[in-house]
Amino acid sequence: VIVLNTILFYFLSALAVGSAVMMVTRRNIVHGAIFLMTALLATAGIFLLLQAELLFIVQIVLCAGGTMVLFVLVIMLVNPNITTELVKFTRQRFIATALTVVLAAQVLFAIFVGRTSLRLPAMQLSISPKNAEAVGDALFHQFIVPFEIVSVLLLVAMIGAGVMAKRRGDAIR
Amino acid sequence: MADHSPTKAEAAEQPDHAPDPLQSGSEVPAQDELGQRGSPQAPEFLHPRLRVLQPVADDVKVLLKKDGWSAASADRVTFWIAPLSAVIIALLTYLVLPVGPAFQTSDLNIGLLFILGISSLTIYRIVPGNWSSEHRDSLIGALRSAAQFLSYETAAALGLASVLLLSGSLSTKEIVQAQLDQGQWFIFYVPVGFLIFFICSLATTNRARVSPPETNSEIVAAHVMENRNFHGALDSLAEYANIIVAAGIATTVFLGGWLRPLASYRDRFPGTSVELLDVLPGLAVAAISAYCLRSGRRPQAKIRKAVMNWTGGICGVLAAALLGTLFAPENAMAGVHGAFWFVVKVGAYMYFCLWIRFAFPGLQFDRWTRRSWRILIPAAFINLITAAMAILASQDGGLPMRFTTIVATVATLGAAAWLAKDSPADPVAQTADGG
Repeated sequence: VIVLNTILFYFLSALAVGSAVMMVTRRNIVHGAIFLMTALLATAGIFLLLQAELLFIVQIVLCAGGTMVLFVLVIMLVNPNITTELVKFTRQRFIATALTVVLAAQVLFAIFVGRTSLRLPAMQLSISPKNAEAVGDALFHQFIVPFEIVSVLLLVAMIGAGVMAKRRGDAIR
Repeated sequence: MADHSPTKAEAAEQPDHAPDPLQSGSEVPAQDELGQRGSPQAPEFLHPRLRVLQPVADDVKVLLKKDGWSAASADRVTFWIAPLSAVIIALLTYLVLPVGPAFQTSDLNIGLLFILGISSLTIYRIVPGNWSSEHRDSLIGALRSAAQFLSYETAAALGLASVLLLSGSLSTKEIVQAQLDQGQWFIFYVPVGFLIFFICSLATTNRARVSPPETNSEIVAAHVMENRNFHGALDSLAEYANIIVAAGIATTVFLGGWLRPLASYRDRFPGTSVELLDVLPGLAVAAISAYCLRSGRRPQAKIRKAVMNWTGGICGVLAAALLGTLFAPENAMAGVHGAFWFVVKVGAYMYFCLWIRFAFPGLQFDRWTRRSWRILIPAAFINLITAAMAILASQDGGLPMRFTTIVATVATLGAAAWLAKDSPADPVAQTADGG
């Protein structure tokens, strides 16, 4: 089982990284979106390997199911030919390279400085299999007030979206 | 009818060869799905005796067909991948559906969420498949499909949520167990939830109407139209697999899964461990078998005779298994009988879906979608609240569950009727009603 888990972990990681790279480099924007979805799903698979089932399904529902559907729809509605013919990677190439190098240097520096403290604590052998229930418990007991505030915020956002989508003068049908 | 080999016309009349989902796209005439009509033009390159094998021959033909592309500019890779992912997504869902106490691939503790999440990916079958064929019209079709799918998926999830109040768990296994413990299928506690889920499953599996949401005369479903080869077959397979998935969810969540009717009634024959009600399905299947074998002996078209004999034989074996396992160890008995009930319920649900599809005329896409947002989703919310109140009243207030359920159901239905009457959701229905 441990061997299988290791193999799966490396497979999923390679998939995630590979499709992330593909996503950035594809000229065709829809292909990019599909590769982004692959990367998200691979990440979800890693969550599942870690027995974080709830996180796994939330990743699928929210990222792959919800957000990505919106992305794909919007992308497909704009004329894909225009987007593919856009000459990308021209002027910003130098700036982007410089920024990437700086970012990579920062990350490497952080790892180098913190290499002693980066060791993760040994994983607990028995993780509660009921992490959906655990999250529910935490939300409704310990974090009830923030949870409710967030829900009100979401409600406000939803109503706001509805109001903005309605053109002025439209009757509410 | 004389005992001679069937003429062509006769053979065409007999419902001898079940329509094959693989060879026919999702635009199968609804009658075909119910087997009311035989395949209209079966190519006759098989010997009459072998015509039972016609579906297999059709499948081989489909497998060997060349790929067809709609336009030179079509996005071939995406077009190629979309049906594959569709099948994978559809089949993944079976992972968590318990077919009997003994048969469940994996009991994820997020079972129901898993099903909902995975099936929400179905949209990736429709949208990229249509986009990649580089047809403007089919792109619009894809958007319509996506909109309808999203609206009904939302309502379906809300309908399912009402059951979670009762089961207290997302695991499919525990949902069935809760129905056993509470002595009642959940359809009787939250009938409106089941109704909502049923309507939504009609819409999300495209069974509801004679025409799928893509169809106006010019708006086509490219993923169906232009994929007549193996990939098209996969796509249709996914479509039908989705119906089975919906039926499986409804069975597990609302109809008691693998429990038999009256699961809490456990009187046994005196002196044995055989429960009274467990004998009935075996006897019923044995009766069907006897009937088929008897009517198979009457003079009639050969193909019909063969079908009757085969059905009778299969039912005989099934009856033997059902009755024989009564005396087997407890686990074997529960497994076989559970699987039997699960399959029967799934079949009945699917039959209902197809039945409705072919009994009622289709509604236009926009009316369907509007109906979901205007009526179905609010009704699902109301149902959730009233169901919670009913459960609270019976658990804390000590009222009998039957009473609270009836009150809650009537309240929800009343609210839904008010919503339907009060919102101009369906102009045509309104004018028809004189409203």
